[in-house]
Amino acid sequence: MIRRAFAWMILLALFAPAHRAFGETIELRVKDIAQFATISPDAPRHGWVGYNYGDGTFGTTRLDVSSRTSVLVQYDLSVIPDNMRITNAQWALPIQHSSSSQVQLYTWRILAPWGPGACHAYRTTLPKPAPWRQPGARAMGVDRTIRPTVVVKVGEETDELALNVTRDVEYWHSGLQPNRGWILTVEQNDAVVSLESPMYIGIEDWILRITYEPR
Amino acid sequence: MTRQTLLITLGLSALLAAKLPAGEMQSPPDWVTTIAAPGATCSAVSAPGRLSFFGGHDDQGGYLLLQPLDAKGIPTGDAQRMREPFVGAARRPLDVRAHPSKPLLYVWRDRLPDSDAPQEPFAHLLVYRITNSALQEAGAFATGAAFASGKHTGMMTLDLPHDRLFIPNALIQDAKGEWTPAIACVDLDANGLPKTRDDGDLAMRSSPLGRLAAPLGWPFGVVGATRDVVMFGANRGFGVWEWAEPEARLNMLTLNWARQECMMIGHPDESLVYLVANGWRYLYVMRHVDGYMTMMPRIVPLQQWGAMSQPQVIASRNTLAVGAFNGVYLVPLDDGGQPTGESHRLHVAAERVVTLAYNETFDRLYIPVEQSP
Repeated sequence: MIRRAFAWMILLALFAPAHRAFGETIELRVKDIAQFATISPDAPRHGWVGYNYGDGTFGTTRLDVSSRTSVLVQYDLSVIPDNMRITNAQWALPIQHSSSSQVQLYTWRILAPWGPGACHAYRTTLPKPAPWRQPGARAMGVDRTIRPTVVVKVGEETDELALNVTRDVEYWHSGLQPNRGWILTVEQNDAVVSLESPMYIGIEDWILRITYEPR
Repeated sequence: MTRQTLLITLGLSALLAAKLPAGEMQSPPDWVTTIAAPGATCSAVSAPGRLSFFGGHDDQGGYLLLQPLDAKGIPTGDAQRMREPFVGAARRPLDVRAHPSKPLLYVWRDRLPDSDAPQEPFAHLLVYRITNSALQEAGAFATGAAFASGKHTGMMTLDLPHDRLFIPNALIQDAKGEWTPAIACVDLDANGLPKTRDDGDLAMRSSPLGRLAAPLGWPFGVVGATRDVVMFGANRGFGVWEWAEPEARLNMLTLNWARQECMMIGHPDESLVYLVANGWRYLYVMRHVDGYMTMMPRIVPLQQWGAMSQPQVIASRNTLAVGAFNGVYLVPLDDGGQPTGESHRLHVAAERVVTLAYNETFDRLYIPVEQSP
């Protein structure tokens, strides 16, 4: 432990000034996800409704984003030093498949605070259940933003997305808005975008790349 | 060599040295006891009865090994090997559980898988009173078509506050009258005995398992989150049984398509459950709120070999133990029950450690080995 700390101290002492001077690009991965939920009215108290078998059972080995299932993700951004300006932020998501060639995947900023126990019915259940304004975090302007951050078309051949979320990360890092993460939705009925699960084989492929430089 | 190059070299060297895998532990900590029980597949420890139990099947048939313990839980005197309950149609103990506060032992027995032994009905569940380091049968239960026979595995669990017993390999009749796997429990009376109906059958509560039932058996550890919601290890993941729902709603959450026996245990003080799959090299640490999983799980790689036993939480020592090939993983936990990122492998003289028993009263972990150290 002491040797490890010593090694990090030496390396940080060597490289940290350069980072501060010129900025850098960092990658936030699954381990940096501070809050996560995948929610559906089909299991209103559960926070891990990745996909629905249709018989009252659900899986987490992939995440279906549809008009009935949404994914909520908040990254811990505290690793970005103060007084930095975000110049680029790309959120890479691994796609397993899309139900058609023109499914639109929406990314919205979440406005309402949420936390442990988050599910379709509640934004948190600790210390006591607190409901979303509209179940599923669907109330625009209260639970989530009025306008989506980005809307992308996902085709049947798409295997990875890179969502441009630069403005959101800059909002959060500058303190203009509290970081409450994003919600991914599909608004069209009977359309599905399936993501590789960050709990399973997608664990290495969920990456938020952020480039920053001194203000 | 410039000063900067030297510092980089020193730093990288120290970092690489620090990243070397943790060494194997050859000798057990003083809170670990190994007991010679070759081929043991189930185990339990009774503090009120001062006995440890290891069950399995060897070349002479099914057995239950009774090892007397002293007041500190340390083996004392000779062990006895009990074979009488396993000479009929039921040939081996599938699981054993000791009541934490009463001198009672619950034994779930079964036929050998794929055996051509006689098919006459037998009681799967035997309850014994422990008196003077011996077992006295207090009742035999769970006979008939509502219990699957010839299974490889399946676990019992005594739910807190020890007034209901979850039983393995139960069946329930569907709308067509066909028997289908079910999660099931029986309430225990004040003496710790299963409650029965007027006809003598167990007064079970059950719900069909559907795809949560692994072919080899079910379930693999039950964790009671509240009186209304329980979680349990299952086929390729785990299930959540919501008692309060009108239809006892059951949800399944798959974690891994390839692994069938996902074994679960809960932390006694934190809202955390730990799950490993048989033969899988990862430990899942999952937070729940009243039985509903929340946030991201932590996925901790074990060192070299896959897990083979249900994990055991040794909360007093901030450690999680998991049986493995030739040893036991000891995973350090922080005060909140989360793994610190390290894991140690305690080498023991057993090819496969598929069962572990931790007793809170003795604060001691018991590991079956091939022969006495």
